[in-house]
Amino acid sequence: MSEPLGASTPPAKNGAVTLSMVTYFLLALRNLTRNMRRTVLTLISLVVAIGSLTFMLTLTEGYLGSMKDNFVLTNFGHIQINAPGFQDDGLIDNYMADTAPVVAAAQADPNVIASTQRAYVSGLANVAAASAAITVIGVEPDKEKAVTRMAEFVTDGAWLEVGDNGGVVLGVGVAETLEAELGDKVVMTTQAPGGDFSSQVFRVRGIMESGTPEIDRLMAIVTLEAAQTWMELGDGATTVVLRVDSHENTDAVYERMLDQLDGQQFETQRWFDVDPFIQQIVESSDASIVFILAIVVVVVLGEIINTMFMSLYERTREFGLMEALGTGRRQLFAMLLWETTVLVSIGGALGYGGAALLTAIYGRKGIDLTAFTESLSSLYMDPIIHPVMDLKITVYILATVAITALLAGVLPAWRATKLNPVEAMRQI
Amino acid sequence: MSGTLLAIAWRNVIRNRRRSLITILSVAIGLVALLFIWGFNDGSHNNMMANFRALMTGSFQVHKGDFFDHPKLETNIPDQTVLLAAMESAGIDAWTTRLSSFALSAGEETSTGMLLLGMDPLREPLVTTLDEKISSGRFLEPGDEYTAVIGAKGAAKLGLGLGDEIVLLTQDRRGTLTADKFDIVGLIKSGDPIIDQAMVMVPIKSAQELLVMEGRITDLVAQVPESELHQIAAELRLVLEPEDLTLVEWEEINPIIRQMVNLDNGFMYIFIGIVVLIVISGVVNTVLVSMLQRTREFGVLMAMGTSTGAIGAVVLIEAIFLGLLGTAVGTAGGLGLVAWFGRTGIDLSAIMDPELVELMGEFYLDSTIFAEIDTNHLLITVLGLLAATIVSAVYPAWRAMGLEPVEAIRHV
Amino acid sequence: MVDIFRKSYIEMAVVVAVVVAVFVGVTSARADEEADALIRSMEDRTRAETNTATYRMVVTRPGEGDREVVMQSWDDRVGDRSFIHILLPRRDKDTTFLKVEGNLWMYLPNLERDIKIPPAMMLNSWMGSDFTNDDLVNQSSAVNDYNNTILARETGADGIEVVTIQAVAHLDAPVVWGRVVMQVRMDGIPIIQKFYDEGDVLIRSLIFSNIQDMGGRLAPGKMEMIPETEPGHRTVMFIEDMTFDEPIAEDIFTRANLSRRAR
Repeated sequence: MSEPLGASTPPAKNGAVTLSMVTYFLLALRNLTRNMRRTVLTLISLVVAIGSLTFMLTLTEGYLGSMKDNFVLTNFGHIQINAPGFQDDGLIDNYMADTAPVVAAAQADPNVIASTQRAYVSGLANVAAASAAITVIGVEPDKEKAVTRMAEFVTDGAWLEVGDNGGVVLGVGVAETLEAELGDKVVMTTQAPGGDFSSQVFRVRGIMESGTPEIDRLMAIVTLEAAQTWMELGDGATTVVLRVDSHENTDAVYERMLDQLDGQQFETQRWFDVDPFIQQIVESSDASIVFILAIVVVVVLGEIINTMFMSLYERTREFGLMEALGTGRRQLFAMLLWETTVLVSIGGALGYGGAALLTAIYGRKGIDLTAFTESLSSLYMDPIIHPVMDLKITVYILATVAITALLAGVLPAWRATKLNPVEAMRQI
Repeated sequence: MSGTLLAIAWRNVIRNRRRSLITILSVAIGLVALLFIWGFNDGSHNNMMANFRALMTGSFQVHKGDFFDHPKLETNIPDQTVLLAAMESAGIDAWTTRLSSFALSAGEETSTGMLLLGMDPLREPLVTTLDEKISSGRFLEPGDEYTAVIGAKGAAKLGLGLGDEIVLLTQDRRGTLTADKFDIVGLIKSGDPIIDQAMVMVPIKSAQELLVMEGRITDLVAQVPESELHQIAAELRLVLEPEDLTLVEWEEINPIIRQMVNLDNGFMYIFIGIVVLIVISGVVNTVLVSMLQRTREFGVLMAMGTSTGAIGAVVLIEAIFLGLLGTAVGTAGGLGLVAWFGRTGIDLSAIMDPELVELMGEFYLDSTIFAEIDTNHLLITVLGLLAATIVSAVYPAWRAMGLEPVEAIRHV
Repeated sequence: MVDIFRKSYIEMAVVVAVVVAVFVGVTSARADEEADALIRSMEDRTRAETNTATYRMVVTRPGEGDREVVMQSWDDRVGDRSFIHILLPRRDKDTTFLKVEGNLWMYLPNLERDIKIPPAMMLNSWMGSDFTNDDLVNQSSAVNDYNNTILARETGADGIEVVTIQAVAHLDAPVVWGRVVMQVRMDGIPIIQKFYDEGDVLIRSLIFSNIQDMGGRLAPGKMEMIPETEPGHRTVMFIEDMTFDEPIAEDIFTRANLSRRAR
């Protein structure tokens, strides 16, 4: 120490001096660098802990985000608007005759990327030698592509073209039950509102496989126009599907739709209102994160406190000397606490920084986990995970670092103040 | 000579009690934390899988031919003698028979498609916990005719309640449309959406009458201890396959649960890796310090003729001792925690939002988790940490070997 | 010189071709018309504008005894309505079906209520037989949905001319078949109908026999449906009695009638 303590500050009331924060900071740095090897090793511990924790969080955020995306973009969309009661009974009788207000509201909304209309009805598909229960969905082929990924799931043949009112795309399960192939004729029978049966013939244009059994075993997709003519819906539809620009904005768009649309005629729902499954996975994941953080803090503390105590014992003499020279207990405590805080902060910052860098790199490329997990497509998981940084993660890490610093620093610092200066100086 | 080395190493460990203790604790804390997480992890996974099996699926099921992939009433088991004899010789008591098909359930105004399950009221409770999920009314009882237990949500959708009649329209074995009325005697709330909204359970005899399936069944469902499942399944298959009876284990019936567990475990292994790294850096620190503090001593030893190899070995052996002790303490502590929480259980509802706990119910998780640890996981973790400790000593040992005796003696 | 001849040869060839085409066209048009007419005559003979009948249906399945179903039916072909009342077996006694336009109701006496059958439950087999719901309920005319041409004519030993007609389904007709090949007597009595899918696989054959006097006219008394893709399966429909073109009371084709029959 080249500068006597307290030289630049006036004495306080009880005889001890109050040092400025800068001084403590510089002191901490100096003390840390005095034992570089130990500092570096502890830093490594911290960087590894905080860094890998952060990266694990960004990975989790990434795969949860992709789960949500997959669910929303496979079929459902972020928000759906139906006639009241349709979501419960699914009956074609419950259709919206005039969807113009909904479409207009969607198009005017700044956060809605795209919207499309659909008509759902259940029915029966027949070929010469087999039959299968199906759910017919009339879609707008071009608009649907802007909202969901259904068109991308066509594995055989092609998605419907606009105006192809005689074509049908079958879910792979339906196609298998019917033993239907591209170009085959399928006669589909449904009930129009009011209950009359009506049969229409369609040709298989494509076969689709989304990985979700509910879709693949039941869906028969035709054009909305075809459905409207077939079931005498006029210009009506059963559902309007909205795609929002991000999950965060879903609630805001939802509120706006509720405001603008007449609740008697139109029922608006967010994806998780209808199927909370994915949302539940996300929430339980969030809950376990806190648990994991706690464990990491415990482990890191286990390592750091040891190091701190070792450093304490090594510098016993030094502390004794300092106290003999007039350093107050509070100052000693503060100094040691600062040391730990600075150490942990630097370690934490470096760890976080490293993880953020990795996130940036792999965020684009993605990490291929196909070797480790079987196809989890029914959980809406991709085998390739893209880590994503989030404000929430930064806050968690900050909190973790702060708590670690505090807990790691308090005990040794307190212990140091318990030293008897005379005995301490005698230590070698 | 090695005996001496061991003695020296051991003495060093004892001499520096404080330092040794610190190192041992580093390892121990890491291990305890990991074992505790495993305890929670494995405990909740086993809980989840057990609940799933117990709710409705069973450990395994037996069907005719390709019934599982292509469910048709025609593909049924007309004579169960061979099947039941196989169960008896395998010592399986917890089995029950079912008749499963589809039906249109009609209420006053609405109708909806449901899974129709004919169940044996006497045997079903031996195998599944459905009877414990009754929210109002009762489960099926022996002697019941044309009664029904249905999910509470499903009933609500149809506008029906306890005591009401539900009409089930279905196709019998010949393909003729047939229907009958059933009295709702119980409502079920299980957390599983299919059971709660799309399933109706009736006495198997009534289902057999309705579907013209007298004496026939479509499924046999059984429970066996999970650890014996694969072996039992293999033995049974030998007997059943010649009769064109197919056995499916619960993981084939619903692979998602196992996949979720594997995914979780995957993340756990990554986490172990992280903790190992943290522990390594901690241990390197302490071992290095201890080594450097004895520079002079090593110098003297070397000057007296001890080979560098021996020096290195001493450092390494010390680390091994510390590792073993740390692992021992950690394992004892960790297993102790696991055992304690294994008996007392971790009450999630105290820690977490009650809504979230209910959500977890839908994932077959109880609100109290009893900690358990799979032997594989235990071994990998303990050995992993032991290895980590030894690896940590390599650098310091190597440093020690590089000491120059004269300089070392001069070191203060 | 050669050129001139060639030119005129070409001209002649063209003329001949045109004449032949017109002739063939005319005759085939006439043949098509004849086919249509014959089919109409067949439909008329077997169903008339209205008919009431008693049927006995025997369903054969491998490994099991034959099953017999006896039913009474009222058929208003023009109005596209039909009513069926099951008499036997005892298990299904007094089950009734009503089809009016695009709606199908079924009444079960033990339920004491009728149920509207949604399309998803109208799976291919009617009452577990080899006839489909389509066959009994969706009587679309072969003339409307098919392109009918005469393939052959033969005169049998009994002196009656039998015409083979090929009915090819219109591409946009809501029928599952690709084509149907039928043999019909010139007097409109059907002999056999073979149903092929679009891949030209023979899926089922319907054989008519027991030609006898039915309600004052000659008609087949026995229809046998053989599903070619299911070995051992067979359904035979015997017409026990039939009356044609007698006016049917309006209240037959009502939902109230569904339960009335059970009393």
